[in-house]
Amino acid sequence: MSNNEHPDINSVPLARPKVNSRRSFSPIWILPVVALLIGLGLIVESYLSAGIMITLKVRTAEGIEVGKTRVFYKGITTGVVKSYEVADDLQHVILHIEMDKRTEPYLNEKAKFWVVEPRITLSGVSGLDTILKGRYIAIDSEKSETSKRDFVALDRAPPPSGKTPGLHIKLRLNRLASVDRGTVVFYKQVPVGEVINYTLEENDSEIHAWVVIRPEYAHLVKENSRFYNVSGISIKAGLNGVEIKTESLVSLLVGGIAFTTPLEEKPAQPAKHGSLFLLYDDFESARVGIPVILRFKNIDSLAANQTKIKYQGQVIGRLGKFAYDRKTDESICVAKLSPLVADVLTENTQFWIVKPSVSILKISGLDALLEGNYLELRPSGTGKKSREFRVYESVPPLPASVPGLHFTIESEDLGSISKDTPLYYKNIKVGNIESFKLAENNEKVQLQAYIKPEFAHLVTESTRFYNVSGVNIKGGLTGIKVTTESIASLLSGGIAFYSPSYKKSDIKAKNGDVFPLYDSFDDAKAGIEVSLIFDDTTGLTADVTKVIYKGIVLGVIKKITPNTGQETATATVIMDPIADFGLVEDTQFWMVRPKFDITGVENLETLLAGDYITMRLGKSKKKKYRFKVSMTKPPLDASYPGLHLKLNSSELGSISIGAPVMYHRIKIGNVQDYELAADGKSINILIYIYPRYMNLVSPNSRFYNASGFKVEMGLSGLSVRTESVKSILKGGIGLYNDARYEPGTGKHKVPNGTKYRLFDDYEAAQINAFYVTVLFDKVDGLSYGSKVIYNDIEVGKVRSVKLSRKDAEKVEVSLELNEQIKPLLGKRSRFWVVRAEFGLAKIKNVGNLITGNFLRLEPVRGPFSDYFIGYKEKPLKKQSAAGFNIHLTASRLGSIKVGDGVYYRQIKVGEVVGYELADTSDQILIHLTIRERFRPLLRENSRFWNASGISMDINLFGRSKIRTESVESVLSGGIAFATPDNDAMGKELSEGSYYILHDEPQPQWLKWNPIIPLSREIQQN
Amino acid sequence: MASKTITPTLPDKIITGKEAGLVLCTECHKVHRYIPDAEQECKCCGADLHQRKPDSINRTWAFLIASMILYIPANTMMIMNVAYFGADEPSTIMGGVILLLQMGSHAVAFVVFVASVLVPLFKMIGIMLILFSLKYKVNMTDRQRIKMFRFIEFIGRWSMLDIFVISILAALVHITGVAEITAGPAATAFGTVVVLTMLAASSFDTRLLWDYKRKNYKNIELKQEPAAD
Repeated sequence: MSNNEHPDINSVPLARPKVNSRRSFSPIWILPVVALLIGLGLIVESYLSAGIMITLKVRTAEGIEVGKTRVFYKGITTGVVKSYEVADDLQHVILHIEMDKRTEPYLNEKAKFWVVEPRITLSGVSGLDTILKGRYIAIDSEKSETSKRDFVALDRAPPPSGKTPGLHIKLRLNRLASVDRGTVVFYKQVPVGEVINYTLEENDSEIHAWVVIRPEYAHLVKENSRFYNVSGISIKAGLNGVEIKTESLVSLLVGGIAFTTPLEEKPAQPAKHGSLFLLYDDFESARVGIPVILRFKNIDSLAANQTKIKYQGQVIGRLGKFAYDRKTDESICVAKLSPLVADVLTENTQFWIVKPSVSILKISGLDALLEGNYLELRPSGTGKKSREFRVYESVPPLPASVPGLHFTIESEDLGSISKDTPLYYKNIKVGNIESFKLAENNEKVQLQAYIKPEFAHLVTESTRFYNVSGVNIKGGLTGIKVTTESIASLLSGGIAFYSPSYKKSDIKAKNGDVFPLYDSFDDAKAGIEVSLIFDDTTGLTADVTKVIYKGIVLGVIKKITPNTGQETATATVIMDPIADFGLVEDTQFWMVRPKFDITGVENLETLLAGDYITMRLGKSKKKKYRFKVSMTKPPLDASYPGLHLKLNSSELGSISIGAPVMYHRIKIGNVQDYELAADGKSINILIYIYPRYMNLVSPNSRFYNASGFKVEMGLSGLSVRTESVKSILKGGIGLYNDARYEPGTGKHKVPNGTKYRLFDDYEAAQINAFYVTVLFDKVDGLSYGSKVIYNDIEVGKVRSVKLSRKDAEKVEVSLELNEQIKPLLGKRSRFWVVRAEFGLAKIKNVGNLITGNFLRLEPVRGPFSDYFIGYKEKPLKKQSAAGFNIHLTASRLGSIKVGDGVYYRQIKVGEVVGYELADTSDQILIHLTIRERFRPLLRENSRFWNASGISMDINLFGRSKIRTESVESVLSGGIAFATPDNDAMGKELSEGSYYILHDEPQPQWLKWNPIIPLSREIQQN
Repeated sequence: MASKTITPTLPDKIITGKEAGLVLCTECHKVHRYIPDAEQECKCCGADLHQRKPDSINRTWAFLIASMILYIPANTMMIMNVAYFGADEPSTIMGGVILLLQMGSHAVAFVVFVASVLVPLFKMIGIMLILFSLKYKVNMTDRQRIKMFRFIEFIGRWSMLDIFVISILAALVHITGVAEITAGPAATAFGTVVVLTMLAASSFDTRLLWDYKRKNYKNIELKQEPAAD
C-alpha cells in the first residue's frame, strides 16, 4: 500500500469511459415467452380439438355416467357424455355428448345411436365388454351432406344394413313363426348367415325375410336349395311315436333356418342376389324323393307324413297324405323315397307294415313300439321297374327261389309258434318259420321252415326239432334252473334242433323234407327203452318221474301200465343213451322218496322235484332192460368195492340205516343194514367203509356208538362231544384206532365180513375196560358215569349203582376201569368217595359240586381181585410213597389235620398224611411225610412244634410279639421243626422215626442255623 | 482500520462489501478487491466474480412468469390417466386430490394438495412478493423477507413429490389391458413449473435485499442530513 506506487486515483484526472446504457433486454425473457407460447398452443389445441356437441334422447340414463360413458364407432372412441338431463316429456333422458370433430360428416340423419349394454338372453350373450367398461353408446352412420345434432337412440342394435357384404336373398314365409331379425341360417348346423330384416309383401299376405349369407358361404346356396324352419323343437307325437328334432341348441332357443341342396338332382347354379326362396315348415316338407304309390288295405295304425319307410333300419322315406281309392277299396298314399333305393324298386319289391306285436308268447316289432309303426321294404333286384306297390299287413313269406333250406316241420298243434318263429341251433338263429297250415288230413300242423343257406348243412335226416318256446323251470333243493333257448325264444317262441351224436347221419336234409316237432329237448332226445317193474306205483307220474343217477337225469318215465295178473306195474322209461352201459343184470333200481323222522329229513329234494328213481350200476356184462324196482335203497352188495363189516351190539340204539361211520369225525362209511344175530340176543349191524378209507380198519380197530352227544362239565369249562351233528340225530358209529395202528402200512388188512364188537361209547372203546365191583355203605352221590380217579387221572367210570344182592343195606357199585391199572389193582386196593368239603380252614373238592362226587382209587399191588370193600372216606395213611415218612407223638391233636404242612424255616417241606390215637391211647400219633429233598434236614436232635394258630406274647412293658409260621398255617394249622447247629444236630434218622411234637418252640430253636447241603431235586408241588 | 471505530449497532455506519469495494467469490468464498466494470476471475478457484448476481431481478422475474404461465396447464390439464380394464380415467391434480379425499385417504390428499398445489403457489407468490418489495414499498422487514426466501428455497424441492408419485406409478402399474397408469401433459408442465420456480429462487441474489436497504438508508440519510443541517 504505497502512495508512491498507487497515486490517489481521485486526485488523478482520468478520462471517463463511455458508458453504454445497459442492455434493456435480457435473453432470459425468452423463457416466459416460450412458456406463454406453449400455454397459448395448448389453449388453441384444446379449442381446436373441442368436439361437436350433440344431444341424444335415450329411454333411460341407467348405467350412463357423465364424463365416462363414451361413444364408440367400431371400438374407437368418438365421443363422451358430458351431461344429461331429463327430457321435457319426462319419458326420456337427453344426453349431451361431445363428439370428436372428425365425426362431423357422419352426424347426419343416417346416424344411428344405441346404448350397448350387456344382454344375456337365451340366444346368447352380447355386450359382454360392457360389464367391465360400463355401458357405452354405439354409433353407426354414413356420410351425408346434411347434418343433424339431435338424435334419438334406438332400443337395440340396428340390423346389418343392406350393404353388408354377402349374398342377399329373400325367403317367403306364410307366417313369421320364430323367425326374427338375427335368426341364424344354418347349413349343416354351421351358422352361415342371418335374417336381417323382414317385411310384409304382396298385400300383406306374406312375409319376405331378408337373409344375408356370409360371402364365404354364399356359394352354398344354389338355385334349387331348400330352406326350412328349424326353429325350436319340432315335436311330433302320436301313437306312432314321438319325434323331437332340432337343428342346434341355439336354434332350439332362438329359432333358425336351415337349408339343404338336394344332391340327387343335377347340380344347380349358385343363387343370385335377391333370389326368392320358399321357407318350408320343416325338413320333411323340404326334402325331395322318388314318389311311389303305396296301396294299403288298412291304414289304421299309420300316420300321414309321419310313418317312416325303413330299409334295414335306415329311414328311406315317409308316407305322404292318404287318399282313398273307391274302385279297389284301398287307401293310396304317395310316399317319397330316398333316391338311393331307386334301383331296387321293381315289381318284386315288397312292402309291409311293421307293428309292435305284444302277447304273452311273443313280442315283436319292439322298435315300432318306440318309433311308431313303420313300413319295411324288401328290395328286389329282378323284375321290371315299378312305382306302385301293395303294402302287406305283415312280413310276406320268402319266395321259394330264395337260397336256403325250405322244409316242413309237423307238429301236433301250433302252440306258441307263429310266423317268423325263429329256428335256433345252439342258440344261434339260423332260420325261421315262414308260414303254417293244417296238414291235409287236418290232424297236424305243417310249419314251413326256412334255414339260411349258410346253416343249411346243419340239418341232416336224423335231426330232431323241438319246441323251445317258453321257459323250462326245474326246481329242487339244490336250486332252480331256468332253461330257455334265448330271451327271444322265451318271448316269441322258437324251435331248436339238434342232431344226436350217437346216431349220426350224414345225409343232408333236402328241400321239402318233413320232420316231426318234439315238445322239448328231452322228448327230442333219442333213448333206450327200459321197463321198470314196481310193486307200488304211488308217486310215479308219466313224463315227470325221472331216473336219476348221481344227480344226472338219465331218463323219464314215459308211461305206466299195470301188469295184469301180477300185483305190479311196469313203467316204461326212455333212458339216455349214455346210460346204456349201466343197464346190466345186477344193476339195482330203487325209489327215492322224502323221508321225515326225528333223526332228520331225507331226500328233501324230492318234495320239489317229485319222487324219482335212482340206480346203482352193476358190474355184470350181461345187458338187461327189465328191472325190479325196490321201494327202499337195497344194501350194498358185498361185492361192491369197499369194506363190508359186521358189528355186534347188544342193542341198536339210535343207529339207523344210512347213519355215518366216522373216523376223526370224517365220514368213512355208513350203516347199510342191521339184523338180529343168530343167537337172537344181540344185533348185527352191517357197515360199509368207502374204498379209500379201507386201510383205516385194522384187526385192533374198535367201533363205538357215536350216537347222541356227551356233555362234560367241570370247573374248567363245558365240553360237548359229538361225532357230528348228523350223528346226534341219525346216530352214528365211530372208529377208534389205538397206538398199535400204523397207517399206510397196509398190514392191517381186514377181510370183508369181519365181525367187531360195538362199544357203547368212545371211552369204552378207548380203554378196553374191565369191570370190578365195590361195596359201599352209602354212595354219597355216586351215579352212572361218576369218575374213578387215580393220581388225579380218570381211570374208569361207575357203570352202575345198585343195592347189593347179599345185603340190601349196602350198595354195589360196578366200575369200568382202564385196563392199564389192572396190574396195580391188588386185593387190598382202596376205593373211597371224594365229596366236596367246606370247613373254616379248608374248602376242598369244590369241583365236585359241579362234576359230582367221584371215587378215588388207591391201588395196592397184589393178587387181582374184582371185588372190593369201599371206604367211606379217605383211609388213614401212615405213610406216603412220595417222601420220607416219620411219626410224631403229641398229647393232643390240636388243630392238626391231614394235609397240614410241615414247615422248616417257614418253608413247606412236607405234610401231615394222617393221625391216629396211639394204641396205648395216651398219645396221638401224627404221620408226616417229608419231601425227599429235605430229608437231610431231619436229624436226631430236630425239634417239632405245633405251628398252628397265632402265638401272641403281650407284654405291658416290653415288646408284644406275634408269631406265626405262615399265613396258611394260621388258618389251617401246621407243624414246624428246627434242627440244631451242625455240631449238635446229630445223625440222620431212618424212615419211620418218632419225634415229640411240642406245643410251642423254645426261643433258642428259632436261632438254630445249621448248614445242611440239600440234594438237587426238581421242585415238585 | 477505520472500521474499528464503527459501532455495529448503528445502521448508518454499516457498510456492505460492495460499498467497501470488495467482491466475494461465491464458490470458494475468497474476498477480493473489486475492480468495477471489469471481468474478473477468482484468484483462487477461477470462478467469475460478481459483486451481485448479474441481472438477478430480471432473471428471477422471467423464471417466475414462465412458471406462472405453465402453472395454468399444469392444473387444468390431465396429469395422470388411470386406465382400468380399458376404461380411461384421466385426472387433474385437483381431481386427484378430490378423488383421494373421496376415497378417504385424507392424509395423502393433504400431502398431495400441499406439495402439488399450495407449495408451488406459495413459492410463486412469495418470490413475486419479494421482487415487488424491492421495487415498491412494502411493509416488510428485511428479516421477514429473508426468512420467507429461505422458506421458499426449503420447500421448493418438495413440490416434485407429485411428479415422483406419478412416475413411479406409471412405471409400476403397467398391466396392459387391466390397469395402466400414464402421465399426462400436465405432469410435464408441472415438472417444468417446479424447475422454473427453483431456478427463479436460485437466480435471486439475496444480497440485493441489503443493497435495497442501504439505498433506503441512504435516502433516509439524504433526508436527514438537510434536516440535521
